[in-house]
Amino acid sequence: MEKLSIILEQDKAAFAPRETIRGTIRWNLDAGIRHLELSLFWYTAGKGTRDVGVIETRRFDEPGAVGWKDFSFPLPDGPYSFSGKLISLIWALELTCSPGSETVRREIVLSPTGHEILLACANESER
Amino acid sequence: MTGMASHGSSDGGKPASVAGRLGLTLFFLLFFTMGSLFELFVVRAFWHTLAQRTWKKTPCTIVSSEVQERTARDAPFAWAVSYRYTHEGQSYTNSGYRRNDEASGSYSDMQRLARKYPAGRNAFCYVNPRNPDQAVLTRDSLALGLVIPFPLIFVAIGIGGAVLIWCRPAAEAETSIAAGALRKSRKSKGKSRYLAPALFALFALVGGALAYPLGIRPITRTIAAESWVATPCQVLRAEVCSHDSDDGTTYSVYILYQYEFRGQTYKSDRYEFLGGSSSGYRGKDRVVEQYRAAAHPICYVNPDDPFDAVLKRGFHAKLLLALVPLIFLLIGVSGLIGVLRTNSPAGDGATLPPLAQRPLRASDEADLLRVEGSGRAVLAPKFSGKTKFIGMTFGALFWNVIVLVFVASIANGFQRDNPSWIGLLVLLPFVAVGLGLAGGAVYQLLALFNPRPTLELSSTVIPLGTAAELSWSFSGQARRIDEFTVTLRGVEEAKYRQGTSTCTDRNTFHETELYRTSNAGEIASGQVGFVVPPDTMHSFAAENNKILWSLDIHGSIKGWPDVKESFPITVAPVAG
Repeated sequence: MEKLSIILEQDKAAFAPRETIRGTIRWNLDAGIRHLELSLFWYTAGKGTRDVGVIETRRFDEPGAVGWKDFSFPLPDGPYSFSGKLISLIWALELTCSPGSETVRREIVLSPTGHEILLACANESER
Repeated sequence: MTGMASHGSSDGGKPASVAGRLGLTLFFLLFFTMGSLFELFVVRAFWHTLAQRTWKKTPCTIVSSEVQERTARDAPFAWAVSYRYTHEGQSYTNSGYRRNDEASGSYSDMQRLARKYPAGRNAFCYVNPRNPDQAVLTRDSLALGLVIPFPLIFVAIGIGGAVLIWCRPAAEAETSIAAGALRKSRKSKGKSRYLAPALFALFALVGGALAYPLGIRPITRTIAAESWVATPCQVLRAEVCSHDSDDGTTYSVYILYQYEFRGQTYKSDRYEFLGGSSSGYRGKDRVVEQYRAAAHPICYVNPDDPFDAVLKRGFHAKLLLALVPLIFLLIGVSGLIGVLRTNSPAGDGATLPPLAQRPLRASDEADLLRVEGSGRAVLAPKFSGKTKFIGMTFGALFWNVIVLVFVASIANGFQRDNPSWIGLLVLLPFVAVGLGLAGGAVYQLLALFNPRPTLELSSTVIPLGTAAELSWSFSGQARRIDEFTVTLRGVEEAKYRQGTSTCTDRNTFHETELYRTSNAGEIASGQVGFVVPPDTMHSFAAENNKILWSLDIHGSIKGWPDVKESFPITVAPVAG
């Protein structure tokens, strides 16, 4: 069993704006864990310096060494998951524990079409 | 911790290598060492100053007192004094004016001291009770204590930098994006609260410290000297002094003159209120020659203190330099006021920064994305014509003034038969950029006389996949425009660090020409309907990454700058 895991309901990974994301977190850690944190957030990747927007964070204090917990987050209107020539915007859930550096991240797509928006290139990139 | 969201950025770059960290550590250790040495020096000097406060005030008699000429260029005169005093029944003679420091400087200042302490006068000196051989006429100023905190800034930078280099959890930031962003958001809240006020305070402090000696004093003295008495004088010595430094040789005018005022004879060596030296020999040589040739040039004497005199009074271009510290002071004080107002709870609502520049709250996100705008909106251009002109003019002035200093220096070399061809070659590209900027300023000036467009959109916010209507009209001579186009444009913009500079890359991902006409009537005013594509990205603005939508208009005018304006619009997610 993995130390930390995020399981999404029906293994669904694409969501429409305002939909609710549901799932379960599981952990199998050493004793002495003070808390777990589950965050819903987006981040950018690509040429620009990374921006991160944390929408919501749930904290589970004194979780014990082994356990599981259901969660649900209502998703906002946006920003949509997209990928362009310079920027990609990725939504994800991230579970971390403290103390320790164990982290698990599960990427999702937020888009009305069910796929990330692909931005075409109208002309050459200018600098 | 629900209901809150944070919004931050991380460079996401590779952590510095061990060699890189060692190099940076050495750099910061240098800061630490220099700061510590300077701090030790200042604290030691201040300790001696404090110790002087325990020295015993003792009556003394001035034995001799005279102004002596020295060879030092910056302090050509010294005041030689000796005085006699008695301590615990034993007689001593001393010549110290200050601790470790003889009195030296301009003739006027030395003459003033000689008059204050003439031979035979009874005065007071301060005697070191532990070593009665040691005495001074004046004790060091306690103002030195104000300098103590300054080297600590370097010490703190040195320690802080070195600690940060080795304590930064770079690897963790890579693996844990959300937790890293939350941490960074909390940290930056604290940092931004103090960093800007500290910077502005530093500006104000430097400006304030320099404002009096370099700014206020020369200006007030120049004004005061308008009422000083014009008095014929005799030039005793006149020469151009040269001062060698790492940046080359600079020159100053030195004239020692003697004048009579109310039956007494005085000497002074003040030429003008703003001292210092600068490049350029010929002008100063001309001044010196003029004074050498003059039989009785006029000096201006302060009637309240006849030691005070000057040869050149009145406002001149060099006095403008006195404004530099005042500009520093103004920037610092106005910046501090602005920052404190922004940070204060009362001002928070009125001066909220854009969404991308502060941590997002859940309500912000909703505000950003909710489709509310149903009313018509008059669009504002990204940059107005005036802004472009002022920006370009300031840019051109700033660049060209700096380049001009180097041009003058090189031209000076050519005039003095010491041409620097390599310097000239290096300078040429900078001159070309300066000319380009000047041309740009002229272009923007001409563009100010273009017909001005007003754009009105049917809705302040347009959701993806919905229709909107744009109407336009021109004030001014719209018939000068030969062809007119309106384009809907979507651009991704990414900002990133490269070395020490910040770069911004843009890529146009959507471009639709909405309207094109050569008809004068349609150019003067018209309207066009359009639909924002449903399968693209809405407006998005984070600190470093943005999706920007705009309506761009282009009106071409023959033989004149074109009408080119970009009007940002907000495209929202699909209305649902």
